[in-house]
Amino acid sequence: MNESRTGATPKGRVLIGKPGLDGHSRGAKFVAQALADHGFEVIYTGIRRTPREIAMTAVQENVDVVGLSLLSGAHNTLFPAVLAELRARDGADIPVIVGGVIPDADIPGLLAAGIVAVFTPGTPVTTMIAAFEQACRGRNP
Amino acid sequence: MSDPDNLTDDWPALDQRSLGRLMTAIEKRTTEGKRFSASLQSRDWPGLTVGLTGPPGCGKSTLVAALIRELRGRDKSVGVLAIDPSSPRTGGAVLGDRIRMMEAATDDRVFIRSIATRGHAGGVAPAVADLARLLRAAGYGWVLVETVGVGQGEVDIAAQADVTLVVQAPGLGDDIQAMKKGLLEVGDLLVVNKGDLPGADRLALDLSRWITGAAEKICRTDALTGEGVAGLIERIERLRHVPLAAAARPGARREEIRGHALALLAARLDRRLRERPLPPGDTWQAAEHIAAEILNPDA
Repeated sequence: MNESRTGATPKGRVLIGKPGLDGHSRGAKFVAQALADHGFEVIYTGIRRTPREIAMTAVQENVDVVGLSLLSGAHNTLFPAVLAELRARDGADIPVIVGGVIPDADIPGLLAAGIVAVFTPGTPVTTMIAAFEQACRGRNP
Repeated sequence: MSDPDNLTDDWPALDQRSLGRLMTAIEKRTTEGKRFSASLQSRDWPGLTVGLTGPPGCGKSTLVAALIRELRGRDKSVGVLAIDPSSPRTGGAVLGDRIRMMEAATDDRVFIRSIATRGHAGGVAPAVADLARLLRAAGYGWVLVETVGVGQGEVDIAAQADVTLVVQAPGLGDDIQAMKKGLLEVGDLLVVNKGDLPGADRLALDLSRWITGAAEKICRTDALTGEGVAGLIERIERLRHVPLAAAARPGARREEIRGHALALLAARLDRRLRERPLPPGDTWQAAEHIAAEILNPDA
């Protein structure tokens, strides 16, 4: 049953994108779709984005959270690069959640660098949505 | 500079972070956002707001990307407001227009903002007029407003833009479509995009035959290759000197107020429908009852 909701506020604004040279967008698109189906406004940037493109988009769109998907193995380089570009644009307060093929051994380093959550294959979608809800809470009230 | 609690209305000094935050405040009508809207409406701003509307898939986003490329080549700063629909079921949205515009993503004289309709009909969102003013105040002299992919009757953009482009592409219907009233009539220019496809000549012919004054309004473009885009900009620039700028049209303010009032009433209507039992009677009687209830809450 469809119900019109004029002026309804979304749960949050989220950027979903893929930094670097990997074209496997199925995971990113799946998460984007799941978030939209759960009441988020999702700005989908597509594949092969540079850290600067992602940071400038996040700032212009004033998103509550940035979500990055990466399967190329360059996570230890590209995720911190996105954080640095966000800091350079006064966006250090925007939380960054990441997912993809990321070895367990690399997760503590990413968290220490400032990533708020890391999701690896097999994570239930409800867990990811809950993390985005949590990260949006209290932002841009 | 960009403490969210400490945003100023020194528009030209705003960095992109502040501008992005300010847009959220205006969209959400926060206390600060209301103050900014009042300040932005207190005077006219230099620049030009161009609306682009047309059916889904006719190439609006790609045409915006081509316009950005051409305008940047002429050293103009460009703001883009790209509107996409919200889900009526969840309130969520996938805002995917800017994916066509990524080549401008690191250009600090281009500012692109995606906007969800949040349940508002008409092809635009209520805050769009103020967001366009904000971009112009901040120095983005060309503001391109891309509406949701519309059907045949969503004409609200024409009241808010100085110049409205109605974009069409071949393959979407026969000459009966060109005869219908509504969208096609509101264009200051009729852009026949995807000009390389078979059927583009026929579409241009049908439009010029059936839409009053269309022959002088038609522009042919191929947004992917950029063909015809320079010519389109020159046509727009020539129009800006005609007194059709929104600020100069007496109905523009009335139409903007009408849009805001409709949004307020629609939100109250939706809340009423959701939160309280439906009145008895047939659907017309029930609707009259609810309309009276909303318009005379104390009765």
